[in-house]
Amino acid sequence: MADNIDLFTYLPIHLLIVIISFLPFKEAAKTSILSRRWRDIWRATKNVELDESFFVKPGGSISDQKVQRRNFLHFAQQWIKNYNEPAVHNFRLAFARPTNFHGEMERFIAFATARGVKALALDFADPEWNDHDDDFHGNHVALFDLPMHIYGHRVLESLRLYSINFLVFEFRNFVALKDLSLGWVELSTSSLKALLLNCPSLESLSLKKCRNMEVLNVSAPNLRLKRLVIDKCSIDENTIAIEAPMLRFLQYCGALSSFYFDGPHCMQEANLDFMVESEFAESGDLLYYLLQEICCIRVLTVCSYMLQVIPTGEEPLGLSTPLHVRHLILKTAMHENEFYGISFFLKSCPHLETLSIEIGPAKIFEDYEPPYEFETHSFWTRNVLVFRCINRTLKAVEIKGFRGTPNELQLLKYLLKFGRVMEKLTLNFSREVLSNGRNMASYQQIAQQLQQFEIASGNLRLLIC
Amino acid sequence: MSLSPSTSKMLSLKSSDGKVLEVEEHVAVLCETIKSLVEDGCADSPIPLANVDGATLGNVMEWCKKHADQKASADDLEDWDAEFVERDQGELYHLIMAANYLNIKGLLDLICQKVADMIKGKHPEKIREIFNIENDFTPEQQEQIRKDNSWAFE
Repeated sequence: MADNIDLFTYLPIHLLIVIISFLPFKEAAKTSILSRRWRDIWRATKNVELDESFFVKPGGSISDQKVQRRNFLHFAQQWIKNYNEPAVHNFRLAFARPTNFHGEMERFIAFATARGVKALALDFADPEWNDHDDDFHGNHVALFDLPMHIYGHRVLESLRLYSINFLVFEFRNFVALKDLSLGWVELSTSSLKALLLNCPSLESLSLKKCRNMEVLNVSAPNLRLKRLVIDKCSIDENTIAIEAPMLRFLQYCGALSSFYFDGPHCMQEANLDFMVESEFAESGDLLYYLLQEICCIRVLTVCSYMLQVIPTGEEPLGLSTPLHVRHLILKTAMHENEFYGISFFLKSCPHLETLSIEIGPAKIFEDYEPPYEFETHSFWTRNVLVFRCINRTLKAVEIKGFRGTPNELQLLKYLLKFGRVMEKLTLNFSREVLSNGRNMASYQQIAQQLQQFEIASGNLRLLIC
Repeated sequence: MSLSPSTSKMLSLKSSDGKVLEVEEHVAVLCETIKSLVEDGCADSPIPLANVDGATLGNVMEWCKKHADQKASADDLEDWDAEFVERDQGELYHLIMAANYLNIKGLLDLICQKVADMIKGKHPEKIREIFNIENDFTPEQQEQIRKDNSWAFE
């Protein structure tokens, strides 16, 4: 219908500003090089990010970093000084070790609130804290207090506070707050409870490396929470209790914990990662119980720990109440210790349509005990059970990080031999060079063998990318 | 009988090229511009929309109809919107202009987000190519801009 004109030639500047305000700040800045018309448009973006990592390079000497931090502060001050727009929608400030720079930081924040910011992210966590997972119980004391005037900023819809102290009872002013992320901060069980009570509009909650909780209890009357992310929080009693009837998405990364779900929920998607666990434990029952609690979900991501530990429960082969999962994502090393776990999930997902296998390094437990003895090389080829999903519903299999190891090949042999309704197999090769010198070219060569496998589906496309 | 959406009042909208579209009032008032006309009691005769052509008006009302539907879930709308924005640049341009003129924030944001996604992660040369932007800088000017904003180009 419409003539195919050049979009940008005719759009007025104020609409170009709307467009670039959807770009990350750095990308908006890059549009300055496009043409004269574009040179200064980015200076009016309503999505402002002042992030010292744009200037400070990791691994540099301390004196270099000091200069880079000064350059960043100078840039940020100038940028704010030259900003002429009346409103900023999103504002993100990231600056580690703010101790001697409180004045600057408070001025940057006041710049955003004076312009009616709706999404505010203040990140004073040190990027280096991320790299040391072993001290995830570490005590990184927050060195910055949330300025008092923020609590009067009632229009906030989204707030992220990393390594910042705040006053929970003042949150009652945030009547419009839908999205809250807290990180690197002390958060007691009672503080979380008060937060949930004070923010009745909350739809998304993310807790990253929060500490000093006895139990993590997510519940409040009329809670509208839809998304919950719990990332490496330290919870003394390893107990997570959730009462959130609208919850649709749960992401958990951390120590193995007991999960309790009170009341009904309509959860659709879960991502469970227990890879911080350093020791093998026969905790299959705990995991089994968790899976039964969330059996209504459609999309499930599980880690290698789950695959190794789930067969240690009383029901080592599968769930008695199957999952409604349509898309299963396995994060696996494709080690034989994970075979019973993989088989457990294939059995427990009778409606599975898409299986994604993401192969990567994972902690393999040497003291792993399989529920029954088996021959590694023939687990998927001799006396196998063909699960319902394999010959009835499984349409797509995607392998990421394919290396063509014997374990990978035998699982593929099984899927191809019995996957009667499979329509698509996608192989995505690993970039890793193995100790035996194998690399991507060798993986691609091994993939050729698949053509020789017995293939049950008459309708299969093999995509190699 | 209760006043359900199916019995709601109809409004006539007249596009810049003279086409008249009959639209249910509860759909049309997603356009703030039309809503204020209705509220001021100025919406009786066909409402002339001098800046929107008939084809674009049809697309805009299709979007409004979907988003006025109380039964559509958030997931539904997201999938539907993702399909709705699959259009050529000419259509996207007309939709942005119309959403701006009719003051429909949801639609304006949706299309602008789509265009931003077309820019995101791409090399400047590629962006110029996709949107046919002429580079009217001298090499020296270009070098100066890179230098002034070196943090963004590293």
